[in-house]
Amino acid sequence: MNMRRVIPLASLIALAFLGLAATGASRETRQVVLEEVLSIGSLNDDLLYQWVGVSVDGEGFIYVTDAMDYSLKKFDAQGKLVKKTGRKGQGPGEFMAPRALVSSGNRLFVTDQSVPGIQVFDNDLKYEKHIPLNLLVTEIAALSDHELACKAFETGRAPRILIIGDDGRVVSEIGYGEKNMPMMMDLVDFAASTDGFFYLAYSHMDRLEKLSAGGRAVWTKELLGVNRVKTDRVSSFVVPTQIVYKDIALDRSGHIFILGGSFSKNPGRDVYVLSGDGDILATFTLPETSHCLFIDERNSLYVRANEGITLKKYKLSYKGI
Amino acid sequence: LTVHLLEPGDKSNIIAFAKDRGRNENSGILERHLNKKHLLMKSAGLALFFLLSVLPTASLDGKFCLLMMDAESLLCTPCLEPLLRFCRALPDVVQEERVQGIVVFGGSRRDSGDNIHVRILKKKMAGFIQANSLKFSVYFDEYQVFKGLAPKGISAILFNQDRLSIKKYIFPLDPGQLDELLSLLLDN
Repeated sequence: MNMRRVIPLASLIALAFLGLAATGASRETRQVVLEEVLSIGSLNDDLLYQWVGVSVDGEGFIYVTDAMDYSLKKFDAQGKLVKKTGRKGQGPGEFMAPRALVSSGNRLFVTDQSVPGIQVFDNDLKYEKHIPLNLLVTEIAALSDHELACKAFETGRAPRILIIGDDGRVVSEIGYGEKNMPMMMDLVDFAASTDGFFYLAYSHMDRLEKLSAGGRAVWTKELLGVNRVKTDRVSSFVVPTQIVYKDIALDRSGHIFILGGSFSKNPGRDVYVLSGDGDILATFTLPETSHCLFIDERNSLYVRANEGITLKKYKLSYKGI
Repeated sequence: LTVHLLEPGDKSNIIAFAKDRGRNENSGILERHLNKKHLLMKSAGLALFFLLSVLPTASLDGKFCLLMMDAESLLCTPCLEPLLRFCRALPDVVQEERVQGIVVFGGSRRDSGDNIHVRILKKKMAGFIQANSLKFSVYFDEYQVFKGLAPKGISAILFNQDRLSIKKYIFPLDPGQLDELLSLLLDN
């Protein structure tokens, strides 16, 4: 039998999956199963060059930022490019290094790694306005149609997640980490749950946290037993050069998905699945290295392939979890 | 054009390189003489020999700039900004005729002749060039001919025959370096 032919035809990709939890079902019975349902971008087309952020609206349209051509792209649920906008620049609707985005209501909130604030587009990618936040926003989540949680790059102060209105007004802030953490753009990745909690995965230390809306630590976990990461001196700064956790995402049931970095057996591919209480339920391995995880409202997982020229969408299902 | 150092055989990378530069008359000569790409340009010395032998014949007024980009630098768009600043200062015709981009593959796992990785980088570079309206062509140094000439990151090697100079510049350039490079390339 020709395995090269059979494997792509198999609709189920049983990619994973050792259950590691100490409680509940046995490790043999706990699995996360990925079924590839969509692939956008390939070596044979010009749809994506280096996608960075992804979000999905309530109708299933997929929005992607692409750093290589300074654009924001909209795809339908079948992966057809519906519209593309953006060009290089710092004016309305322009990007220098488009990064995170989130769909909320009928709007898209898009950040730029090199330009402070947040740009707002409608679902047809028509530019609406700029939220005048005087900070570089590196990650963003929608708490409601009019409230956003932002991770911003700041110098000279303890790291924090800002809760802002869609006019840029800071409503509250949630501190995390320690004051003496290195000055880096990406110290943590976070996910916000619908019941008001924040889940943090630290980039350069073995720490996962669940914080209340007020910033109180509900729990703190270590998964990998990493004591310290390698550092390097850049100019007068000592900066970490290894990443412990690359991203974090929540599924519809409140399971926590953590993408492992340098210390995982398969860097950028191993995903740890935790319960809302922080107990590890299972691990699985992505087919290709990704920089991020995104899970939509329909429990589909979006990850990178082909070093950013391909976006893969998998339907998630669980066995024994 | 001297080709006697080169071995007979199949088509070579250097032919594609010459074609990229739009000098089909030269590549025609080369095609009749050259074969094995590995043997052809397996050392930076031969590569330089080629450049110094062929380029001055092509109405370049003896001025030419190689933009060396290590493959990893292409994965970081903000890291390419200094390169774009340099390119924006060049008229289109100068980019087309006097600048040649070379993507160099280093020592990482992806840089060891991984054809998929090379194809991915070509795709990314195509998007980047289109989005920035760049006019110079890019050669992907899959056989690591130019590796020894390229430091990590982005650099420029300027050939100026009038002044008998070959000079390397490492990006990001300070304003003085940028002025000097532009002056030598544009002959201001």
